[in-house]
Amino acid sequence: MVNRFVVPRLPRATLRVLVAMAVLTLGAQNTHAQLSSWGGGTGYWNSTNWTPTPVPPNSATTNVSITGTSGTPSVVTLNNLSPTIQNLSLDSFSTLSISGGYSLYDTGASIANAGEINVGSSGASTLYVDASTVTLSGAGTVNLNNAGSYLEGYSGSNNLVNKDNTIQGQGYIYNLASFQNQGTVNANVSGGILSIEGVTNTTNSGTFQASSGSTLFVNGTLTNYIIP
Amino acid sequence: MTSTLTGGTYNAYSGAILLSQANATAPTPAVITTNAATILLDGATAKIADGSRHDILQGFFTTNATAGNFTIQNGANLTSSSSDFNNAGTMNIGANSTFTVGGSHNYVQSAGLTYLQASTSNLVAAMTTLNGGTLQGFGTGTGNLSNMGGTVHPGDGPGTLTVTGNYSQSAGGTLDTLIGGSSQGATYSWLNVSGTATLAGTLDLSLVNGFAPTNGQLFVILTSGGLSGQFNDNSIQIGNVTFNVEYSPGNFPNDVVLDASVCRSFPFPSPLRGWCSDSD
Repeated sequence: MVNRFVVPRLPRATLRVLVAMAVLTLGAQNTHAQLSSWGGGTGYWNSTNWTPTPVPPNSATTNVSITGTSGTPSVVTLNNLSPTIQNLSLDSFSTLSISGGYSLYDTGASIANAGEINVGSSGASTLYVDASTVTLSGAGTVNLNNAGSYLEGYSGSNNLVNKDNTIQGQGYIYNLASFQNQGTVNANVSGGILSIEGVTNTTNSGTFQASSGSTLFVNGTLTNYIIP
Repeated sequence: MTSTLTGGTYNAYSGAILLSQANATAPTPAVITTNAATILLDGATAKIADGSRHDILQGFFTTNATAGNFTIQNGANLTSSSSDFNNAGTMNIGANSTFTVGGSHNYVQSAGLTYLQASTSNLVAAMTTLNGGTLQGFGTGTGNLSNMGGTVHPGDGPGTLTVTGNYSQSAGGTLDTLIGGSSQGATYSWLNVSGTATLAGTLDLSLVNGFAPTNGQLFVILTSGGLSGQFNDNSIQIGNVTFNVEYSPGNFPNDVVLDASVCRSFPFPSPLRGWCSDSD
């Protein structure tokens, strides 16, 4: 008689559940985000001034944190790549500038900006939001510095909630299923237009503002505006 | 068609906010007839418009709802639709700005506040009717003012409110007057009526800024081109000061004058004016 290791036969449904659990477990392990923190001071995104050292990669599982101090503010310029990250955070002593021709893809649900994000500091560029719903918080400022500056949904099915930031300048808030403004959107470049465009539904419970001879254009449905 | 902007704040500082849904030139225009949001227009070029930059407030605005807060200032002027304009919220008319009710119609306030924020603020209507709420400030109401059931308050603290037209106050109306000094329209309230004043209802009086009138001091709180009627009370006492309300006295024809009578401590009853016993 040959001794054999006998694997008990499980019902197919049970196997499916076990396989699904295994996949979920592995998936969860993969979604444990890595954190890349800026080491302070002024520099380019692709410098070695990150901890851990590698430049935040094209990875949707990398959270990026930029912090500074009042004595040593952090100023990071993204000028030679267009990385994908998970969540982005800046403290009040930090500035991130996305140079013309480059983009930053935020695939997480949060952009916690207590500092300043310059989109298109030298030409057209885009800050993409690429999660189902992305909340912009932290009471900071997003400067759309160029007529070709975009704060844009990646797929068009993305929802953006501006909790308390000031989004100002000229350019576009673009390609979103919805845009909820609870903060401030301020068109403030003389002769320029800040356009909310390609957005299925825009809701304003904060402030929409046009100043200094500029135009704020809600080019789509504003749910606050009720026309019978 | 009633189109409403509801919720949120819309500030135009010499700029334009465009809403593509609107169409001011359509046979049935999609414009803003009712404001239930907060709108501020600052400067002569400030506007809220459709996608083709046609103004969607100018000539269309009809109602400022309870939740509505509407401000024009610093050269921004607005004419409402050619019908009565209704306010139940807050209407602020700032410096160098005029709000005109279109088509020589009436401005009707059921509740809330109309605030003429500066001496260069102007509200123009055939008739401004206060059924409720407050009209206050420093500017000019051009046209007749009928205070049926609201409060008219010259100034912010004390100040001057001018009516270029007739003023009538009914039994339900209140004229709110502050006495904080001896300068008419500056430290004490002045309602300056160019036409006739027909009075009834309440004169509400307060002493402010720690001011203590002297005995016999006069305060000309209302001037007019022809005075009739009276407020409910002939005298109003505040602390140890009794203000006698006098109509067209002596040198003040067609004016309402408060004559202060100040009680001073006296150990026993005295018939002398201004001297009161401790028991008074």
